[in-house]
Amino acid sequence: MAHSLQAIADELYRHQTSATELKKLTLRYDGLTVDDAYEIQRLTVQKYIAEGARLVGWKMGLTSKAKQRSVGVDEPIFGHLLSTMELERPVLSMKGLIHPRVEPEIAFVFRSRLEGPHVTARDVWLATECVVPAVEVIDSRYENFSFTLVDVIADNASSARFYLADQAVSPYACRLDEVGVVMRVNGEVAQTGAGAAVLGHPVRSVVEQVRMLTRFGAAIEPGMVVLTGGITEAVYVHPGDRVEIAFAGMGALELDVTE
Amino acid sequence: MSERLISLADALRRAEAERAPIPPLTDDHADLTVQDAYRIQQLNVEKRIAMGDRVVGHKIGLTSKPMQLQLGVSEPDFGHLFQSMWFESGSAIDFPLIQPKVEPEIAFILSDDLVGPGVDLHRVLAATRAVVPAIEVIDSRIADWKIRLVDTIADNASAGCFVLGHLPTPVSGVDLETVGGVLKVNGEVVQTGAGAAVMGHPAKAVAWLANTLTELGTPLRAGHVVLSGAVSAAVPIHPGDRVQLSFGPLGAVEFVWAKGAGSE
Repeated sequence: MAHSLQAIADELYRHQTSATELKKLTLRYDGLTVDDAYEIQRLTVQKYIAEGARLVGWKMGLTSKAKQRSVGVDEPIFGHLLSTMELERPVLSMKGLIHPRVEPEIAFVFRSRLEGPHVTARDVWLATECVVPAVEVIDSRYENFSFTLVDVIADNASSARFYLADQAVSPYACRLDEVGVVMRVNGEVAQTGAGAAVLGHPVRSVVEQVRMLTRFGAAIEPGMVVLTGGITEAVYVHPGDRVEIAFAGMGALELDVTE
Repeated sequence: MSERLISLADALRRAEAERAPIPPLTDDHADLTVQDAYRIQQLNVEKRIAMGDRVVGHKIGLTSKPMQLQLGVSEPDFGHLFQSMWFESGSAIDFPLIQPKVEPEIAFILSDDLVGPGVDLHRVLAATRAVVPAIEVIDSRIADWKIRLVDTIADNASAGCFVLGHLPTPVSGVDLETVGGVLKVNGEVVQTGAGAAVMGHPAKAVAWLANTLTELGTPLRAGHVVLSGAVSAAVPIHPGDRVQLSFGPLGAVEFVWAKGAGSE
C-alpha cells in the first residue's frame, strides 16, 4: 500500500510544532519501512528549513546495546539538528514540549567534511575541531513516549532541544570512553554513566553516523555538531527543575527548566 | 540468642555450603527485625572465623537511590568480607556461588582506624591509604534473589567474593564523584556509572559504615578493605565469562569466571 509520505510528514510537523501527542504511525499505516521513516524525517525537516531553520548537525540515538535490544534492532538511528533546537542559554522552556527528558552527551564539533562508507575513527579525529559537554532534550511526539523503530525515526529520533557547554575541550584531553558523567536533578544524583555507554566509545558513534548519512547522500559538513548519544538513561524534567551534569575532566553544565 | 535466629543462620550457612538456595526468611518470619538480621549475619561470621577464615573488611550495599527504593529503605546495609573471598585481578575464579552477579565498585583501603561517632567524608579520605577498582561478585542464598531488606542483611548483605585491582591510587587528586567505571562482559559494555552513584560520593558510604560499626562496638580498623557500593546495576555472570572493569585514572581489574564455577 502506498501511503503519502508527505502527508505523514505534514502530520508529524503539525504535532511537533503544536506540542501535541499523536498515535504511533505504525498503528495506522501498514508496511512503513525504515527507509520510508527516514524519508518522512527528511520531508518534515524540509518544512522547518522552508521556515528559515538551518541544519546545524546530527544526533545519534539507540547507541547503547540495551536501547537497541529494547526496540529489537542492532544498529543506531540518527536525526537532524536544526538551529531552532539549539538553546542559546542553559534555560529550557517547557513551551513547545510535550514530555521532555534530558540526557548527558558528548558533542563533537567538526572543522572538515566527513563522508563515505569507509570512514575510520582516525578520519574522525582528523576532522574534529573539539568536543563539548552537552545535554540533549528529547521529546517523543508519540503518546506515552512509546514507539517502534519506524515511528521514532520518522519523528526525527525524538530530537527537541540541545545545549552545548561554553567551554570546548581538546578531543585528546581525556579518554572519552572513560569520562565519568554525573547528572543531578535538584541536587540529587539522578543518573551516572561513562562515555563507553555510547557504542563502546563515542568516536564510534560518529563513524556510524557518517556511514548512515552516506546511505542517504548526506555528510558531516564543516562547523557541524554531532550529538553522539545518551551516556545515561534519559530523565523526565518539570518546570522549576535544575539539572546539573558533570563530565570528569571535561567540565560541567547546568540547565534550568522553566514553564 | 534465640533458637530461632540460630536455626535461621544454620539454614543460610547450609544453603551456601550446599549451593542450594532457600526461600526468603521473611516468608515464615515476617516479624524479623533489622537487628535480628544483623545478629543472624554475626552468627555466621563467628562460625566462619572459628573455621579459620579471617575478616579483612566490609562491603556496603543498598547505596543507590534505585536500590533503596526497590527494597523500601532509606539507609544502606553492610556485610563482612573474608580472606577466602579475596581474589587478585587476572585470576580465573572458581568459587562456589549459586546465582552470581557482578558490580563495579571503588574499594577503600584504610591506613587508620575509623572510630565514630561523627565520621564524615573528610575523615574517611584522611584515613584512606588508597583506593582501587573492585569487582564485587554478589550472590544470594535466597532463591531467585527474592530478597527483602532483612533477608539480604541476614545473608551477609549478599556477599560472594571480590576482585581488587593491582594499582592502589592515593585519594588526593582523584575526583571520586565523577570518576567513571566501565563494566564489560566478554568484551561488551554492559554497564557504566560514576562514583556519585554511591550516596553522592563513595566516601559518604564509608563514613556511614564507620559510624554504624562504632555503634555496634566493632569499628573499622587500619588495613581493612571497604567495598563502598555499586556504581551501576548488577549483571548476572555465567561460567566462562570474562569480566573487565576499567575505572579511568584508578586503573582496571578483570577476572574469568571459571568454567565449572557457579551452579552448573
